[in-house]
Amino acid sequence: MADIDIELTFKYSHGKDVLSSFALKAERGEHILLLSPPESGKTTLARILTGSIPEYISGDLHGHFRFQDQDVLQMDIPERIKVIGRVSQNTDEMMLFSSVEEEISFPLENLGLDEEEREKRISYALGLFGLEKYRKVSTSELSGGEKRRLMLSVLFAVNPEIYILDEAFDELSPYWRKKLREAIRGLEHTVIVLASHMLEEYEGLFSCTLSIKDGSLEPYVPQLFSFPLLHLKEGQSLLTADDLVIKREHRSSSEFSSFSVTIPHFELHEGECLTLLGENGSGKSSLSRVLSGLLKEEGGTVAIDGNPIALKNRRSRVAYLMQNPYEELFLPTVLDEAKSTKASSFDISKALDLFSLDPDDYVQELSYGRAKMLQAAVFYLLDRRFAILDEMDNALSSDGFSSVLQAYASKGIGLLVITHDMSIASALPGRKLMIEGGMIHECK
Amino acid sequence: MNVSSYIYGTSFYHRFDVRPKIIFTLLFSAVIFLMSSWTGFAIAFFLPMAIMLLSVGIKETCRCYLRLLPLFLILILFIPLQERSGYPIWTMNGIPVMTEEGLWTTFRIIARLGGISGVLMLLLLTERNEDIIKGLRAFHLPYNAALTASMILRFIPYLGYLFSEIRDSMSLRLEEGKRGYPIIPSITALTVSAIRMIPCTASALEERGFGLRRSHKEQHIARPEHYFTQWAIGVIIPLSLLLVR
Repeated sequence: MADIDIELTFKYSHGKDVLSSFALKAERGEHILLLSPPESGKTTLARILTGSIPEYISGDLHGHFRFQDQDVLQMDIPERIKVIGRVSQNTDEMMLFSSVEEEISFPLENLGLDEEEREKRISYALGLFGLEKYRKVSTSELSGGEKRRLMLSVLFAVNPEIYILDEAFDELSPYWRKKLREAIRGLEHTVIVLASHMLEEYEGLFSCTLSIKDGSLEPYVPQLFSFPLLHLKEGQSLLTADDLVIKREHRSSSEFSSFSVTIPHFELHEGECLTLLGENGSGKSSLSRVLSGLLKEEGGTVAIDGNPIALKNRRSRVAYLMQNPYEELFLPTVLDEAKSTKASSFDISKALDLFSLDPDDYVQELSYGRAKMLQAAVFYLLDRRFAILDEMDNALSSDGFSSVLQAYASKGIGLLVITHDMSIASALPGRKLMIEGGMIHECK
Repeated sequence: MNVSSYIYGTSFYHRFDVRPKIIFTLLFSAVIFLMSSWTGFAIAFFLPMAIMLLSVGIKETCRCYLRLLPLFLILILFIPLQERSGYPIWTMNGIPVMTEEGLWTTFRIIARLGGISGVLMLLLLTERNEDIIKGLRAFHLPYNAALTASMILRFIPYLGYLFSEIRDSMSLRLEEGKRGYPIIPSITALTVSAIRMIPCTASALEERGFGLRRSHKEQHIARPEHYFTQWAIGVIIPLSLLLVR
């Protein structure tokens, strides 16, 4: 009998079938990659295994999940902590506490570990993902990639028998992806990585690669995907920034109070595609917030066509598609979100078709990847001349991401694409910029 | 609910031990309900603001109170519905829009809301969440109750944070040349997000083992210098407000 034996059928109470005769058998210590497009049921599976479905999101669940002799589905959610743990795709929904240390310490206290053991595990986990200096920092002051590393630290500190990493490589810079790869390689416990697109870091890491199709598990068939050539349309407008100084404060800690980025000159032409690279927490999102008018710069000017533009006026000129789509989607249905753009019914229906969205879907029930498509549709309808796509490739299939880029490029929108995926960066046309050590420079 | 209001600092209120600080917060919040004079309400409103100014500076104080401003505005808008049978001080076509009693009731609510929110924010701005839990545990509160209480305390600033996020998101959708944000959709979105947050937080807590029947040992907190003086201040100041006429 296999150590891990899962057989599940699940349907949401609002009628959507997600898993049908899903069956997975694995041995303890196996490392499995589950690669399938958004909405295929990966996150639902993770939630069922850890227990938040059907406890907090109702649905019709049948089947079993056995680990060695334990019937995990019959265990209370807290009791499962030693057996299974997950890193959620949406890190914000799992953050509970006000400091990095507290976030890691909480499950260890619940496990009843003594102070010495807790300290040992906290130091180990912080060291593993380079968060030592953030120990006392508030979790709300971390960047997207740093939050992801924190959630990984929590899981590695708890060290359950089965690790579920839901798109956990996303939002990490190439350096931290490599580190995570090494950490997984060194684990003797079972690891299931859920992913929407192939990354080069996955190569040689897994004992098997599977896919979910129509709710059932099947072997993954590799698909050759080459990033299609973007058809760019030149425009007249120009977004520039000169002598820009951006500061972000760490208000919660005395150890390092702020970070700053200095940008002597930045320009983005309408119809251009510009790629921005950089480490987690290097200031990519802060720069995006300044350009789109959500964060005030400490110094310098932002201008469109040579005319300096005030903070609030930038918001209606530069679209900013944030890393976490749920930070921008608050209305009940897909149609409500689309209508909030004041676009015509014809344009809305065309855009929803283009981004494969159902107008009647409830926003909070969309998968993370689908929520990203809705976010893209909303800003597509707003028809801004410039758009910043902050790690839009995360949680989307390669097809999905390239269709978003193509849709924007066909409108002649100036694109600033932020990514950690070097294969995407090299496939995109145009200049590449890198933020490093508080400065921005062009990559040759 | 990854929001923290804590700001690192070395002010006198930062140096205050968490236990007398919790007592000060609770007593102050309770005493506000026993006050009845204009002077008392003014002190209740402005005292936390003054301590906040000394502890975290003008920028953070403004940021905190600006978050309360929409609530105050809503209360002011509802003045016409308050105490309609009272002595009218503003009428429109013979219909009383504002009465003396209505104005006084609104002022009282604003002072209480501002005072309680101010003193709670002061606690959150100057203490880390884990220290608040330790402080509550020092009063022999069970671990789970202390954790729940600390999370409830963070709920109000979290709503403020969420509202600013929604407002930013809405402002990114404005037509060129327009400013502001649509108020009703923003408030609706805030309500939906706040309600949705409850199962999300509960699920995240349980997935991290909250509820396992483990004994959480009480952690000893060392007594700082002037500990008894801090206790005296924490108790005497709120109680002395009862003497204000």
